[in-house]
Amino acid sequence: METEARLKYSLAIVLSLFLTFDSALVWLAAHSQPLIVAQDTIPIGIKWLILFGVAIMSIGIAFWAHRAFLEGGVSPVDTTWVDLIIIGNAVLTVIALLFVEESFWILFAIFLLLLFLFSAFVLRKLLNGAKSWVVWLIATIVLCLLVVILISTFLPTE
Amino acid sequence: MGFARCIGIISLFFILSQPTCGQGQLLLIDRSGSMKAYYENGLINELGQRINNLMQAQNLTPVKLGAFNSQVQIVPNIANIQVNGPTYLDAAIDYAIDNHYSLVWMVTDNIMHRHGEEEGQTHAFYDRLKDNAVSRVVIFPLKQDPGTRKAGIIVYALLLSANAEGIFRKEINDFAHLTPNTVLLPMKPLDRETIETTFVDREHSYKKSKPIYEDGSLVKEAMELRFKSKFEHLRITDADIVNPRVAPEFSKNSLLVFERDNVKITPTKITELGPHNETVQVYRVEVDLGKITLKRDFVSLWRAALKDPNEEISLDLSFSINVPKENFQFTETFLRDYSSETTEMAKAQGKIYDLNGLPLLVAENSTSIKVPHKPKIHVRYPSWLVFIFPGIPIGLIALVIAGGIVAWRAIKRAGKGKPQWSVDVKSPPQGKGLVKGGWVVVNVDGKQNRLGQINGNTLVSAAGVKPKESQTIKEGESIILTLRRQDYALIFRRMSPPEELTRQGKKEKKIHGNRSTTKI
Repeated sequence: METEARLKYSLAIVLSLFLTFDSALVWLAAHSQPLIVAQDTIPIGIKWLILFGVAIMSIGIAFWAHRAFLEGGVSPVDTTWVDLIIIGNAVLTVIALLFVEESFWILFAIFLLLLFLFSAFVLRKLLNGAKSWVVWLIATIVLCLLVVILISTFLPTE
Repeated sequence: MGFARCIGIISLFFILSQPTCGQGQLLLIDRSGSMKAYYENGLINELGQRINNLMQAQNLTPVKLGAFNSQVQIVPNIANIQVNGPTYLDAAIDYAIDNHYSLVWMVTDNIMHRHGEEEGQTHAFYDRLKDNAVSRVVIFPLKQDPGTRKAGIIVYALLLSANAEGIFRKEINDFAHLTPNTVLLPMKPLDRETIETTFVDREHSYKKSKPIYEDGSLVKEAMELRFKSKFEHLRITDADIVNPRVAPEFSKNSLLVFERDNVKITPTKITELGPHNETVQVYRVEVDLGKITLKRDFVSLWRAALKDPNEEISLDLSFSINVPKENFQFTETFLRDYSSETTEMAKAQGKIYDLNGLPLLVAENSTSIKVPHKPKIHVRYPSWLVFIFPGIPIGLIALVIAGGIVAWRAIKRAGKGKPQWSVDVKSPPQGKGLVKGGWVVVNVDGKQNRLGQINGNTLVSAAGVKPKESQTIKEGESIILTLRRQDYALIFRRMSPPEELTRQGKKEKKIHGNRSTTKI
């Protein structure tokens, strides 16, 4: 497989995993069972420091991906979309881990949906064949649903 | 030797200067003439044995037995007690206090033998009970069978050392449990653990017990409550609620401050409060602490950003209920069961003479009952603390980076002696090349492509351009680069000074615009 195709499929898989993980976090927050139980007691400064740290790290990763995609022959416009998706996913995941409480879960779910639509839009441009894009779309939705169903079986019944 | 003596003296000093903590237990049995009948019918022997067993069961030694009339005599057992003489209750309690006993039981008929001394001695005894040397007083009135023609007797349980409180509680509860025809009457202290508060709407109050406040929000709490008596047989009539106060109990490292500490309770009078009953009247308590704010000094704000952003604060509301001693009264039922108005009636009915006067004797002139009430509130630190941390450190880092960039540019400007280059594009033929801000840009069909950056005499390839390695620029020699499968052949030329000047002139023109010059 040539570099360009390998990069694109890797990105598709990583995005799929990120979206699945985030949907699990939203589902947990909606049921008052956040993954980090003590998120309410984490100092405000430390929470934001982690968020900034991850944001900077994601910019670093996005920069690396940008170069790799450019070298792989992807147009500069498309690589910029990829950068935004990588940063968006990383930041949203940290927010979900540290900030999303029960009261914010709907807001976060809306953000997640928007990110999913944005990712789908960018991947459609990247994955030239419509077939592989549809496969990604279906796989991501199925994965998210499976994780949500699996978590629901572990959640305590009221 | 000198050192050892010094240590010895210091140790002795410390031992002598220690407050007396109290030790051991003492059972004092009245051996005055009036008690003779109780010895004869075996009551004293039975009671003495029971109390002795309770004392022996506890780990508080030594356990001593004493008999008293005008003075106390330690005896090995009850059979050795000689019955005669007056009843000096004050002498008995003085003995126990002077000998530093922790816990004392006294068995007496409470009747002074010698006429004329009775009242004074009784008052002296009750004054001792009010003294600080006595921590707790519990009275057990023991009724007798009416047919025996004997008045009831009284057993006092006295705690002299607070260290033995646990043992004291155990012994009095066991005694009350084992002894028929008696009740447990806690008579001292009357001002602590005797009245509590209950919320009117329990469920609602429980939810409201921990309201969450943010920085700068007004803390105003209103609650409705009733007072509940924990007295066994005492009732309170006409008492005043005075000086309600609130003292927020902050944790040791709290970073919060309140504006004020106002508290109001309405109404302020308790007209009737029976034993184990709640007041019919509902009392409304309004607490106004003003604004709750985070301390605004930098250190506090920094610490707040780096610690758990939740603080729980107990609002220590203390109510004092002032009860004059005549307003403490035994209940009618209790007096009917245990008290008689004359000594003759006491003997006929097996009751205790004049028990209704006991609260007047034991209580202070005015007892101020402390009623604790501690609702809790929850305070959350504000989110803007993020501007303190990590805002300030990140801001400082950004400033340092910006300063570094400015300095770097200044250094770059200083090194102007570097050669200037122009570029010609050989391939593709329609391409037009230019050097813009150090970057080599080639225009092909209106599309700009950045191929690399000139650094002195070196061309550094841009992202996506092959070869990746930097190349040395030589005047007139061709350099071939590839971007997106398109080859570019570039020839660099060193710009002559007039060319540079022309470019500079163009720049100035851009800044100042075209101006015509007029010769005067």
